[in-house]
Amino acid sequence: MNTWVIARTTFGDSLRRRVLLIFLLLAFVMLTLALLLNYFTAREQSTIFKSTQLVIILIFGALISITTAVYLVPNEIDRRTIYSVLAKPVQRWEFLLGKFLGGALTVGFMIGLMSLALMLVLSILALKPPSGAADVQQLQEASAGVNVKDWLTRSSAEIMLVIRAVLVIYFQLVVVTAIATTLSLYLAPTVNFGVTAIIWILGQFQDALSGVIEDRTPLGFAVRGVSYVVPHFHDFNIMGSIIHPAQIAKDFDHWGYALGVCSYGLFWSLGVLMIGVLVFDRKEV
Amino acid sequence: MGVAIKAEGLTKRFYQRGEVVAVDQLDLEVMEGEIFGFLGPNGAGKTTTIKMLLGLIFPDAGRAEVLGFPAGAQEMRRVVSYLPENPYFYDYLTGGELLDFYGRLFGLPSAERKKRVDQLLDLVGLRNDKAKQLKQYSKGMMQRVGIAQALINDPKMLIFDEPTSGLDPVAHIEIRNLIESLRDQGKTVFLSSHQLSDVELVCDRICILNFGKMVKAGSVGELTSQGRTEITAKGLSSDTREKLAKLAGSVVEREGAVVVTVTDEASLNTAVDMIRAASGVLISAIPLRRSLEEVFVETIGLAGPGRRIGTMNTLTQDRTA
Amino acid sequence: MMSAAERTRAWIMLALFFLVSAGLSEGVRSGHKVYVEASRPVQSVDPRDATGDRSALKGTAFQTLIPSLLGVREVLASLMWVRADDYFHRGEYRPIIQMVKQITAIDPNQIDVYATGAWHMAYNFMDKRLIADGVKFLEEGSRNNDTVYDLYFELGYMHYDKTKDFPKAVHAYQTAAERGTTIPGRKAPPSYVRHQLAHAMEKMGDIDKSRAQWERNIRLAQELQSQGEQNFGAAGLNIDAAENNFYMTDRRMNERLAAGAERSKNQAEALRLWEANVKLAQDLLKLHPRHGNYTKDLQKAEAEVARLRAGRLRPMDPADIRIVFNVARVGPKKIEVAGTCNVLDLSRVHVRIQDKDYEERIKKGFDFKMRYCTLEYDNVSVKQGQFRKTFELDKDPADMERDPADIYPLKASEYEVSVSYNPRLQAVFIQDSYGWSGEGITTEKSALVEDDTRAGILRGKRFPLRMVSKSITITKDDIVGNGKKQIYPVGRSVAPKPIPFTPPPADPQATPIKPLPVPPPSAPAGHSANDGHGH
Repeated sequence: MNTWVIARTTFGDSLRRRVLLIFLLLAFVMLTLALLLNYFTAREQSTIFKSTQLVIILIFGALISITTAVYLVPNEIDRRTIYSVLAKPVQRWEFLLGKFLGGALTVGFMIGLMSLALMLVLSILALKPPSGAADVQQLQEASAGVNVKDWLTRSSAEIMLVIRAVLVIYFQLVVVTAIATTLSLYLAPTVNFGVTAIIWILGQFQDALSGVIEDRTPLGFAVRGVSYVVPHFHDFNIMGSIIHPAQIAKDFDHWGYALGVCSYGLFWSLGVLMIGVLVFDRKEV
Repeated sequence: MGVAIKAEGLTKRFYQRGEVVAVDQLDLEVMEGEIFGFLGPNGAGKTTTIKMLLGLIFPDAGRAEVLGFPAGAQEMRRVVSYLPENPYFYDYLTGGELLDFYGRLFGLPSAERKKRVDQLLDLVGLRNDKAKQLKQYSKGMMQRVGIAQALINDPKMLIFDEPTSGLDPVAHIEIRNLIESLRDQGKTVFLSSHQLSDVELVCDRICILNFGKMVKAGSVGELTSQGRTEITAKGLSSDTREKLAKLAGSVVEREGAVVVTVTDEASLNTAVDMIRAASGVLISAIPLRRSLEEVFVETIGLAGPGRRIGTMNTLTQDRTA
Repeated sequence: MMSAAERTRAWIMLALFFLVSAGLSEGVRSGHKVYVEASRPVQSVDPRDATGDRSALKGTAFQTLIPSLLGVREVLASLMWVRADDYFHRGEYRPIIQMVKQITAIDPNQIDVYATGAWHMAYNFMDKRLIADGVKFLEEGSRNNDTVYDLYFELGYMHYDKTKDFPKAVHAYQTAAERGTTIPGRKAPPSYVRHQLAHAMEKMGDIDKSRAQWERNIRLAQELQSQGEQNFGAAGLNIDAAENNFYMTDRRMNERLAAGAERSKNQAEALRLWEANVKLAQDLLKLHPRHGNYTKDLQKAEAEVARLRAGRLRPMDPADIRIVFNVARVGPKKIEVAGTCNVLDLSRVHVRIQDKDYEERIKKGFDFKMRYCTLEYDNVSVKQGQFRKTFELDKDPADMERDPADIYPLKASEYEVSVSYNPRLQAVFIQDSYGWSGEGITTEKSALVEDDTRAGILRGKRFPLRMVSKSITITKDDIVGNGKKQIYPVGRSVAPKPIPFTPPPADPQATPIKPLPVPPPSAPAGHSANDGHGH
């Protein structure tokens, strides 16, 4: 399918962009620096490390996704590679979706690398026995020998937490990529970068409108209607569910919510990309 | 022979500090199996026309059909290929990977794709550079791989925009031979080029565009032929010379012979009859031809002395002058 | 370009995608609400510390809004915690309390911040007023982390060790034992939590409950071992500890009741109870033949049995405990409380100085006015019936170069100086002499405190707590004046004459009682609860 063919080529092309490799390198440097932070109990160490690393992955992931997406189509037009592609029997929507998919794959690959490093370190940290009142227990257990089953349980739990966190981060970035890709049909890359970043940041504050949205008034319904077409970035922020899963456990379905918000991100992105498809269909290149 | 390209009243306007008509009511017909030269100065509307035919941009008026399909249609693009001017491809790919990429876009199966990639690289002389990344290719190599990608789908029609740009003379000849061989295979070639010598040698018909309008069209022979014949004769009396001078407008003596130039067939016959009637010796009667360049320059410069070759930027100046 | 039909299809798909995403967002909205509520801090207490400084962040946009951005709430809190620890290692203690409250305002799920912050308040800064602050901080933390045991456990320990409010300790430990953990794969809190619960029940005085809890602890440890939740060795250690404590509870129960029986001159009952202890020790030695402590217990129990069989009861007349003390200013802001208390050596009296209205203030809730309260106390050992404590209210008790006026503001016009003796907090051998709930104590009526709310419960019987307490009121001028001054009693010399007392004899040779006949060898029988031990 042409979409996939274009996606693969886009993925390969994007990976060679030097600026993305610089972001990746910076992220790894910060991952390493965070290891040098002074830590205390095993739980504090895990909390500090996980929270800093996930935010690093989110921020650098956002930089990578915006930087990739703003150039997806404009580069093709500037370099005129688009002519030889669109002159082939490629539908315009195939081209646009293929470019988007390639960009999304690039982002996924980059944050995948970062999260693999995170999972490895957390597995190593899980060798340190738990803390708190368990300190006393730990002394007992230390005298009784290392519990491999315990370590496997803890490290696999940490890995599942990271997977859940990165999944949610990834779909948040898929939304960002979709916005930037669609806007790139109108805006120059530098302007697009700023606009997309602002949309992303403002989208974090949607909770401020939650009071109005709940109102059963004309204004409330109107704001609610608008809120359906504006991305709910705030819904993706469930860092607490990852860092403190046991404390947020009551009544909160961690995986159900994560999958729900990822699905929301996917469908919203497809909606915004359809706008791009309709625009691009009439765009002169 | 069917019609490969048919355009009627094709018009395209741009809005750049005022309205600019890039293509103005263009009527165009290209026959299947011919090599058609599409000429014009910079900014004449050639690339705009090509883009409209390919569906990269959309006309404001008129319509066009390519090989029976509406211009830009998906089906059309299956059987037409395009080599843009100064082609640029994904430079991290190797030559082989690039062709494979385009082959996939046509939905070619894997085995066939592989075979065609090797054949085409052989054809354009890049077999040894198959595994080299495009960023290591020279301009000439890029042009060749561009031609190769244009042939990946074995198209019925090829649109070449400056295919010999930047190539050395030997490469020019190779490309010309290739284009001719494509015609021999029954393909139609739509050639846009500033290399008038190449166009003159390979094209069957041409048209010249200026300010978005077609100002001249016809076969190369017709356009370059001046309709004049130079007659050389000797042993003519002065009386006969005068008559010839009256007929031709002037008579020139050259190496003891008389040279007259007539402008039409009737005058040619009259002059020959005069010479024979005067028992002169008819040495030669040579049809005189102009170069395509001369035709081109004359066509473009027809608006008046001192007039610059029209460009998009000067268009509005001229319109307001 | 798409045909009209294709464009229509594209529009329909666009609408469908947004409709589906709208539907999903409604589903996500309710989940998000739950998440926000679960992670919202419950701060019923205004986070102001004893210094009266208001938390700079509470209710501000910074606290609620910006940390939500991008989910940096947790990382912001984590990095601030790293900074706070840096302050600690550099000895800059003052910012720590402020910071822990700001950190927990930003991220109320930082369990270790609550735990360590409360520890700083209650232990490290040696400002007694901050103990109440530490308790409130832990209460807030446990409410914000209600699903896990950790902070309930810390709160229980705070009451157990610092405030000595054992009913509250029991409540907190009980709650902790019913909660989950933050450790993946571990549903139940560590055994130590349940062990502490049993200890706190005993300290509270409810021996029956303590015993029942030890039985539960043994059963739970065995279940955990069979489920493989802990490794075999560790679970084994927990079972051993629980069994040992269960035995000790039974043994102490018998010892308390035996002391009570001797006090009421019930020789037969006292003998029966000590014989039960012999059996307890013998049974355990069968399982752990070389256990040193069980051997000592057996030897002691056998000696007591022998003594009682020989008819030698200890004279257990009620001990008339009197507290007499002086309060003198020995220097500016230096108050010496010296006196006598006719109790056994190694006893401890609680000596305290505080604002006169301190208790009322605490009941109303901890507010910023606490910064103007003065509170200091100590548990002072009694040697040869004498005790002495000097309160140096002109010095930083933790030697952290703080201004003493910050710790001891001395703003009130009147202060209460009190000395009290609580038999429940004394060593075991002292408890047995005076009764573990003070049932063997008497004193002047004005000094006797009888508290049924803190009654001990042993085999269903209630033993109200009886303790001795005396307090006087002094003025601010008494404290801050220059030079020395005899504050209380006025007119007496600085060093009052100690009241003589006679400690009870170790071996009551002077009070022979007709020896009891040697009972026939007891038939082998299973344990009953009345014997005090049942596995």
